[in-house]
Amino acid sequence: MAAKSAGAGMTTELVTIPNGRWPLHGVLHRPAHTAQRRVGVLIVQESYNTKFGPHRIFVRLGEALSQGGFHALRYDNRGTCDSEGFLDITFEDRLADSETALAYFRESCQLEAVIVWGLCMGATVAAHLTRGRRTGIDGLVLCSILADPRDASLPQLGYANVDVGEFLKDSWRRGDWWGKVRRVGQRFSHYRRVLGRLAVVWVRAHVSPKSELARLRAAIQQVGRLLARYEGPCLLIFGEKDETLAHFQERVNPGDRLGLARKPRPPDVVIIGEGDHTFASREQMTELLRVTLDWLTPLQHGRRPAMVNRDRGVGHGVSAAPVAE
Amino acid sequence: MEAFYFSNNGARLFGVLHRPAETPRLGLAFCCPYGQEMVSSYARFSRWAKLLEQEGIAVLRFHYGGTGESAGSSGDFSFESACADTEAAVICLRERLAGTPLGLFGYRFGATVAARVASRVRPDMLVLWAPVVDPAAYLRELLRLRLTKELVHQRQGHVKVTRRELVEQLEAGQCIDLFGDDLSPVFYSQLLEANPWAEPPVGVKVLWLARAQEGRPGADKARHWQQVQVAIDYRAIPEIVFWEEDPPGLPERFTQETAAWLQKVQAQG
Repeated sequence: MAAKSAGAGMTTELVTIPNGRWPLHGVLHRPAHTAQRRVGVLIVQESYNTKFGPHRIFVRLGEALSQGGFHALRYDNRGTCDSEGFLDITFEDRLADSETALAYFRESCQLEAVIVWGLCMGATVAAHLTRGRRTGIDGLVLCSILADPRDASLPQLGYANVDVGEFLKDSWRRGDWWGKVRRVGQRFSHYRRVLGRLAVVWVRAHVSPKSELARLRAAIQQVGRLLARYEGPCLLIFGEKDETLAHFQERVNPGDRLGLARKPRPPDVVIIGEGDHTFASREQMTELLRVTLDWLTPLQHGRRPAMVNRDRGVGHGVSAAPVAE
Repeated sequence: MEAFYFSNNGARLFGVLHRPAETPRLGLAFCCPYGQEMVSSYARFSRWAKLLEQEGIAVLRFHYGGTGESAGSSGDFSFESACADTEAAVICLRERLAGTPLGLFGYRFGATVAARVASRVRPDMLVLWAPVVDPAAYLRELLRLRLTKELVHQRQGHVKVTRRELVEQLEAGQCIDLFGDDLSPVFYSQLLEANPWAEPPVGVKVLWLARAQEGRPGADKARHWQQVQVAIDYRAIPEIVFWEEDPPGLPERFTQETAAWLQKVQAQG
């Protein structure tokens, strides 16, 4: 049985990444053509999911990158999905796995530069890889990044929004409370069920797994500061309709509190029109791949990545970043 | 545990074989559901496969062509292609576990595929969790989900296309965009026309676990199979499952009943 497959000049290879007692299963995309420099993109998946991702977003990204002359590596975290064993992983586990995968990737493909591309929690992990410059990465592409600790959730909590206060505030802001009050009589059983679930979520969040949740929140809390400190090239991608965009603008970096705009080289920002959290439509996926490849391609020639969609990005003022390079 | 590619008529399929250290007492091919349900259940079922491996059961998890890690695009995926890929997976499992009793396990769309394929590949046993018994209702549900996504996740005031328009596109031979994947007109028409219950897997021992609220359609199908001499054990289980709500992990009663049934059937020989 094969662990390698080739097509259209590119190769897809199943790999086992040594990682102590928790080896990681990965898929390595080797490029269709040889670029000037050997540049690799480590793809870090979102939340507690698998390496192919919703609507195969990571498979398509890996294939698009290899067609564009990049190496790409996707992997499953320790004890999850196609990696050995089973484990309720922590944020630190995820971070350690990404470091291991990065070192393996760099060495096995003899890369001259490595970019980390992350989605949602994967983007949060990618931001943490810049801590203390221990991994020496050459750039970040961060999509729908989780940077607001109030968005933290755990599979043990059924991925529910564990911050009941925020949940209620959001519900309040979304409005039509008068209409809801009028309909209580008709929808009594619905409200009884919702209130029951809220109670369960609240109890779970405040009793059993609080320690990991608190650590996760602390890790997400640090993202803003890490972005402010990071000096390498960085591209932030958001979906226009995704809540992480609003949370980044309103809670993480209101009025450029982090000073991203004052950095010598502020992060580039792209907002994908009508986009959602995982870019789940043909148009969004096409745009996501285009933006990623356009931004990364200069790296193959030893140049710094360029901003690709400055008008939209600045128009939405995510980082209040100046447009001039 | 071994991850590998295998082939169905030259098309590359991805599989993971969980093989116990000792000679396995049973081999199971897992048929996964379609679309978002495949993604949301992936970690849970890989974990269950690892647990079964510890209990001496070999498990082959695989991805249909055009899904997950297998080659092809989502537009190439159809009901018949999923059935053909499942047959290829069973052949692969038979080659690897020669002499070991084999079973098919499927849930939701995967259970419907498993039910269809069982009459062709004649496994020793078949386990179905909440199969799709009304394909038309299932397709309506998929299209409704797409519209719900527009309203909720993309916070649109109104939907861009109606369900009727989506159906018209499919009937006109066009793929529709379902959360970034293509749902092809071939898949649509095959699923509507498919009657996986028409060829009962006579001689195969069957466990069919339904959700309590599924009601009559499934029970009627199971009764029909019983009448044509299929050894079927049909049970309705009152449990909230992850594809409807979001409880963590696997549905406990589904897994317990399945494990007990497998043990009982094997003890009976």
